[in-house]
Amino acid sequence: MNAKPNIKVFVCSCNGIIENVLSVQDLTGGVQDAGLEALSHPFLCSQEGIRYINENTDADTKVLIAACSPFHKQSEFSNLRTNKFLIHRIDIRDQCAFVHKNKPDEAFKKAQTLIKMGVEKVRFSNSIDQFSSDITKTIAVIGGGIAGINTAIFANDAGLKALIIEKSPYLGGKVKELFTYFPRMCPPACGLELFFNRLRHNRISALTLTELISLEGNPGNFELTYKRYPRYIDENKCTVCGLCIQECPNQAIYLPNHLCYPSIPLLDRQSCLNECMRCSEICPTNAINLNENESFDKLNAGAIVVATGWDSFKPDKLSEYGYKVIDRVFTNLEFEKKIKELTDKKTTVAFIQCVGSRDDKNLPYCSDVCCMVSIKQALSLKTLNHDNEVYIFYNDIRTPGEYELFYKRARKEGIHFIKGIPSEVKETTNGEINLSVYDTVLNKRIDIKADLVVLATGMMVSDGTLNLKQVLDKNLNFNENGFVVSHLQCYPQDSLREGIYSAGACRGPMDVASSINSASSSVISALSFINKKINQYRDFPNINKEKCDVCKRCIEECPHNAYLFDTKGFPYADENKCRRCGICMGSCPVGAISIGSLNIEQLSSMIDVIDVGIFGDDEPLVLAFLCQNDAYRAVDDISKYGGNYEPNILTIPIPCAGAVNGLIVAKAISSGIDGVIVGGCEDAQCHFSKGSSLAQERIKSIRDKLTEMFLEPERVSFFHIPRDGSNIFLNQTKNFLRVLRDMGRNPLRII
Amino acid sequence: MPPYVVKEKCDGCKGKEEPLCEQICIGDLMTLDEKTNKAYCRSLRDCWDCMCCTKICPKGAIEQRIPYQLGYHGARLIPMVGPDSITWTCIDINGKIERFSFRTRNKK
Amino acid sequence: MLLSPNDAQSCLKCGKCTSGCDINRLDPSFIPHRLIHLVTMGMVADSISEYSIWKCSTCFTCSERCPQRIKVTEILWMLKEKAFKEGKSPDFVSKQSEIIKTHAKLFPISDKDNARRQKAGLPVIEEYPDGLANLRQILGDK
Repeated sequence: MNAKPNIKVFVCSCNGIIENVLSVQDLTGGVQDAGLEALSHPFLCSQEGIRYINENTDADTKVLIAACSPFHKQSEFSNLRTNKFLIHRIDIRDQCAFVHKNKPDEAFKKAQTLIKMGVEKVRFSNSIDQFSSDITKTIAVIGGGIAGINTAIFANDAGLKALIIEKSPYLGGKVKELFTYFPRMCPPACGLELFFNRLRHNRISALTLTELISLEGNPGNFELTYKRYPRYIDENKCTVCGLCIQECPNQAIYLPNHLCYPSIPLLDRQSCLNECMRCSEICPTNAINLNENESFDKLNAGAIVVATGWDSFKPDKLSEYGYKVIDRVFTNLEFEKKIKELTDKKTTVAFIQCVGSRDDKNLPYCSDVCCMVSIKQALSLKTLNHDNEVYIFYNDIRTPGEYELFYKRARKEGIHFIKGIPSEVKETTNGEINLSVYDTVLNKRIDIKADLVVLATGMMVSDGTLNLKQVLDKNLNFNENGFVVSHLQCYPQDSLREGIYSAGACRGPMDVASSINSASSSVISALSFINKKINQYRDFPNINKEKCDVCKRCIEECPHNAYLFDTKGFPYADENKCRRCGICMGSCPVGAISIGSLNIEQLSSMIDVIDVGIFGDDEPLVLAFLCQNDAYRAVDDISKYGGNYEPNILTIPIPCAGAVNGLIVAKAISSGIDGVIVGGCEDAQCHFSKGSSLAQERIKSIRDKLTEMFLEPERVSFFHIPRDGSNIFLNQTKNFLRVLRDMGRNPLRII
Repeated sequence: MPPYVVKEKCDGCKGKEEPLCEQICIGDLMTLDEKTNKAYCRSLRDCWDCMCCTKICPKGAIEQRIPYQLGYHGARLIPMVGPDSITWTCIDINGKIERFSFRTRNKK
Repeated sequence: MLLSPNDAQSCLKCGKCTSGCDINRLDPSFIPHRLIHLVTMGMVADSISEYSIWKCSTCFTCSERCPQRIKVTEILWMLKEKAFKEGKSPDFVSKQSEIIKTHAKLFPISDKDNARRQKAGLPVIEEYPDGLANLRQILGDK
């Protein structure tokens, strides 16, 4: 009746290593007895081996490879001609021949069962084709500071279009306000001018006076709505002739900086008092329109880079430092401007470090740059007049790496570094500023009279980032200090959503050099995302509408908010948001959801073919569903350390512990399997954020059910197995098997 | 004997409207208490004891006792549903336990 | 005891407490950050035998300005309490406590004071025995 299934089983003897323990011939013989074609090869991962498989299969053949762990030699086996989703690999080496060396008979039985299960898995697998979706090859950069500018430049260099969305009238952000860069002490104008020149490219457009107000669409095809504030001067028409600047009676039109991008004057509508309209009349190109209004517009982008930068900490709260009370007390950012106005008259300047930073009540972190900034400003003062007295009151000077040489230069210049933080800045009756500090090295109080005081305030999260928090909400992860951080060590540029990256000081305090670095890393990520999106498999969840009851549990439990309703009211997963974790498959109470690499049918028929009495009537048989990110690999490692465990445990890799459906566990227990283990990551380490905790929840309801049925709830257990948790697995399973033996066999087992 | 919803286990099927027991109930008896977000049987005397709700509940939150015509107090019938199988645990009034496993006609 | 030496553990040794301390200005032997450092080093025994812990005027400037929210004044309080319990307090402390126990106030009014008050037209202040009883009750003295 049934046509012979197009399934081929290849057994590798791994150059005799597997053969030493298991008889490959007997394994293939067993498969042939079941009516399937089975072939063996001494070395499947070699070039000849791959050729041997390709010669014996065609594109539709379902291939089962019984060899080493599916996570070894992945690149070699990716050269097979069969569709990736029709190939299944089972491990008869690392988790069978190696770890059960001393028990060859049991190892053989286990391998046989694994092959039987593997056959069932490939039998119910479906081929999945690749598709490419249309990608907007544009990166939208939010923020036009140094990080944003460089992101746009790097994107342009990589062949992408770039759009900068900047809220203020000009690009350049905070860097534009700086006096010099450290450690080379060159003016930022020099570097910025070069950057601005590179921005003048037809693939880059900079939208100033614009603000992002909403984000729609999907990674690869985001739709951004932005608000454009009136500029009153048409960028394209203005020739910067300067007539309007001369004509305005209120000085409401001016060029704020000699280095402006876009290089057109600023029209300050608030200072424009009498609406004389003289500027618009005089403009030779009719570029001025004083009646311009706010406008809204949309743009499309494939990826987004958030570069909303930082704000300077406002030391108003620290009233003891007299900021805004004494007019000669500045923050370091204000001092950058002030320093330009200073003459070579001898002055005494005191810098107070860590103002607001490393402060539990304000910014609990170190702001990274303030030490270098103060040293830079101190050196500038020394350059202005070498007789200037400069005191830096510090707590710890932090100049990592080669910045230390800069610090040394400052010490050699005669800048006084005093370890001790003044507690207050006071103005004496004769108008001098007095700082009284306890020098913790001298163990003595010293009093210093200063002409100017500079508070080295830290970098804090910017208003732009806070505004963006409302727009992007669930797409970005903000840490407790408000910075955009997702996974600091491994993926500092990523956000919670594909296609959205971050660069610059919105990730945390950083200097100009690090900002430029971060810009390039975010562009690389965006670029690889855009390239990857072009060829992807259609392996996202598939919902069987005959079974689906529209209970919406999948929608609720999906950690990536990927589920939406289709026109008929059924849920479907948005391919762009889905990360193929399979948590929906585990959540579905009726087992209607399957993902590309695994489905309920496969798991169910894998359980069907297990001969529960294979190791003897009273020997327990355990099925272990292991998360393939951490737990399964940890178990793989056991053979490397020469460890061993009992062969009674059959492991099945799954994309996430959350992909194990309660129905499958129920079926396993019903069909007489004595114990079921679900192995997942620690809750906080779950690669799909909620998978591990959801799995535990489900295991708990099954245990409740078992208790109700007068079965031992201990038969179903959840183990936390981290990536390096080989020993945890060994100990836990040893206990688990002991408990199972004490309980006796599963009453549902049919003998 | 009508279904009894264990409030601690029921999570209202998370979807807020029409939990699974409500959809499956032939008599349209189960529904969701909007305030507590838990399911309940709105007309206890109309229940036929078909146990559909007990079987479908993914949290195992619905319990059902055997009606007195079949077994007295203490007798229980507990289903455990797999993708294509069902296991019944029958407990009679003397506490004797019997278990049956069947294939269902569900596709896997 | 409400505080423990662990409450001082996050000290940065920046010296801001000492910089702002008015007592230190007058008497350089009182160095709050030094005392805090002794506590963080686990050398509580050394710190309580120092006379300078008794010099704190409890103005709370240090606690108010500490960037690490270390309750400097409270920790000094804790040290004083410990010193007293271990009998390492200077004589004036026990003398003061004796005065309070006998007069229910730290500065008892003498006849001389009352004579001066009468001269200035102020009422005479008398010893207040009920107050003493109440105080004893509060202190748990039988």
